[in-house]
Amino acid sequence: MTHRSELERRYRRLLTWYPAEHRRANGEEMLGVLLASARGRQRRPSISDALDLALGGLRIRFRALLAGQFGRNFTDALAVYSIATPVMWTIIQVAFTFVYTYHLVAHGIATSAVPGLVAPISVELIFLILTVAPPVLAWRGRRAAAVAVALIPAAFTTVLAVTPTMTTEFEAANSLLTVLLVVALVISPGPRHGAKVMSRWTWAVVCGAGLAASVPLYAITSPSMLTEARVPMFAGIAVAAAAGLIITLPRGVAVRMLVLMAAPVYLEGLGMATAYGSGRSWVSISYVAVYLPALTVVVLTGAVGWLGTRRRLTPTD
Amino acid sequence: MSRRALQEPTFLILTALAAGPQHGYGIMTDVAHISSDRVRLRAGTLYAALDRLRSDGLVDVEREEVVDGRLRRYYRLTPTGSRRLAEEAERLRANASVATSRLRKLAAGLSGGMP
Repeated sequence: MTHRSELERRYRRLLTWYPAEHRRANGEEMLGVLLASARGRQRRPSISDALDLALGGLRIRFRALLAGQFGRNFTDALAVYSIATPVMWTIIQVAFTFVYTYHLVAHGIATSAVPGLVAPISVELIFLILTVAPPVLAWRGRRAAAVAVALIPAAFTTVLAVTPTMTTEFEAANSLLTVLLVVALVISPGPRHGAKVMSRWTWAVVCGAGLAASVPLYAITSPSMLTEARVPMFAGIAVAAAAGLIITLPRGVAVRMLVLMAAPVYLEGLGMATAYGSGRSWVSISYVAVYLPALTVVVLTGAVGWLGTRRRLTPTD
Repeated sequence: MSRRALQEPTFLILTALAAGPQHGYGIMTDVAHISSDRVRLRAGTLYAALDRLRSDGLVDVEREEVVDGRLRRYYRLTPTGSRRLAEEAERLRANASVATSRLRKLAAGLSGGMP
């Protein structure tokens, strides 16, 4: 390998600090300038050149982030989130209620126990409405109303999550999911755009994951099923859903979608692993210490994204 | 509302382009020449600056050509870029003028006060 081609190869490697879009537009030109500036028999970039390229790449990435260019994938991911997550929740709720009711009927339920089920079912119903309403409102162009409605479960689950005696991994994860929905409704182009980004296969993944997730949820309530089974079941569903999203969504969108969902999944996984490992009940550990940093990251990410995209926000289309 | 002062590399890039359209390597050598080799831009700094200047509308691409199989872009100052450079040059000139005037007075005071 000649000095020149070796130097070029090393410069090309350093150019990966830059966003792919910038490399496509300017990479060859920058390479020409770098090689023109090189000394005669130079084989490798100087440390100052390497640092300069790394800093230049980071600067452009940061600027693109603030300008909302990165932007496009990220806001697309949030738009997908704003429709996919409520749909998945709804499927889980409906499927779980159906399976649970079937279980109660199949095993016989005392008439005296029926009134006691009214309150929890009502709460589930209210949450179902609060889950469905925000994307529907946003879809119809009423973004402010959608955000206002989405704030109710976000506030409720957040209060539960930061109350040490109430906190379970479910509350912490649910809180992050609901807060993320508010962020998605505020800064993304909205669920209608999300639906355009999703292919019918993405819909199949979302609906399939929702249906599949209701089975281990049922297992939690059913003493006849091994509770330990829920850990591998949830893990398997999460892995399958992640693979499905990566395959069926555009790559950048899929990666960002997974990052968005990583914090809640991590919390839930941590909770399940802890409960599974120690045999303790679900309501056993305060997750506030884990939850607050994760929430802070989500809120800061949302704020940065909002600052970067507010200039080009369009009505929910 | 007062504008933020241009950073020196940015000022020198715009000054280089005030002489006419130039490609990246040409800007680097011209900036070194203008600043008497005090400022030597590197490619990362140059292209981060050009990226910002283009998005701010101060600089644009004049033309592209392929030399030795590699893309070469020529950049030019836009009318907005010319105005911004003129404002900055005026600001620096005014600052320099005040500094020079005060230094003269200081020097006169020092020499007048000498026994």
